Amino acid sequence: MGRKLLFLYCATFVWLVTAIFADAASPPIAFSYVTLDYPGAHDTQLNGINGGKIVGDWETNSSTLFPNSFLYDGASFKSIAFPGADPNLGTQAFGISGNLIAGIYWTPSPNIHEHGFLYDGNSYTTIDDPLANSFYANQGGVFGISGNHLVGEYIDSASHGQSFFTMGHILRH
Amino acid sequence: LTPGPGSAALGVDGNKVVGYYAGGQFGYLYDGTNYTTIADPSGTHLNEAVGISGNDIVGDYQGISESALHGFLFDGTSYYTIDIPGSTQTSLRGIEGNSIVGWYLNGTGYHGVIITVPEPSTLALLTLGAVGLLAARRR
Repeated sequence: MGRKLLFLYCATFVWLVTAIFADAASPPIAFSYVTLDYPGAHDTQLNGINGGKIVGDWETNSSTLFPNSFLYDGASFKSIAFPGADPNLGTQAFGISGNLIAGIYWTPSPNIHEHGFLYDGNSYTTIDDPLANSFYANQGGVFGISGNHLVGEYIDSASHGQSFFTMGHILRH
Repeated sequence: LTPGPGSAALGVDGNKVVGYYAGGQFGYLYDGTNYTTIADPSGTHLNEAVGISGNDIVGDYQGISESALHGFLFDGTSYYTIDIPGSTQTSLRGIEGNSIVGWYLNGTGYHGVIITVPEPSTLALLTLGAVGLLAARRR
């Protein structure tokens, strides 16, 4: 009885591994999911996760601008909003690492510009790549964070998007 | 070091960076030394590598003649498509361990989503546990 059970278990395991981890062109994978929408929002997007904490953004009118951002700690939502940001374009939190949150915000009219930011739980700091061309409103921002490493994009003098990485205090392009 | 014009770095884990280049046609992984192209085999004209955790990378792609996004997981060896059932688009934006966050679009709008995928190590541990239990019962 034990050997039959062991055989059946091993056969099922091999089938599961074959079905789930087979190397084929974009096969589906078994997964489970739960929906997490910001209370009262029309649209919600989740952008980053670390330590079980999640950052994302939301909007109320299906404009796809997502001007409001949040931190979700597994139980409640906290607003993430760069002080003085444009009310329509607002703040978008993209990455989280420990207590640090990174993203972008927009300054209001008549000087509408995109900027990166870092939030440490108490205060907000603007993070702009020194090579960003401020001629363009969407001059770049911060999209990810891991420890003291930030990554993002800046628009160069030829209006091309470029990647930047900060490894500690070293900025790389 | 640059992946070139039309690029953006979107995610980082330690010294590993993911993003896109060529205007979003291809995703990339930078491991601190070399660049590797990240592109789902089904992604023909748009591939974004957005989040990374260890060897696992998530993002989205568009297939041929498509404007809709599909989510993908790359475990360092294989690509897996992850589309939320009933959605018209899915995009995966961040990953930590076997937890993935992102969004999907359906008839009522955009919705945040937390996805859990199985880990090979989890299955292996379950197997070891079961074999151990069987061995104990036979004694």
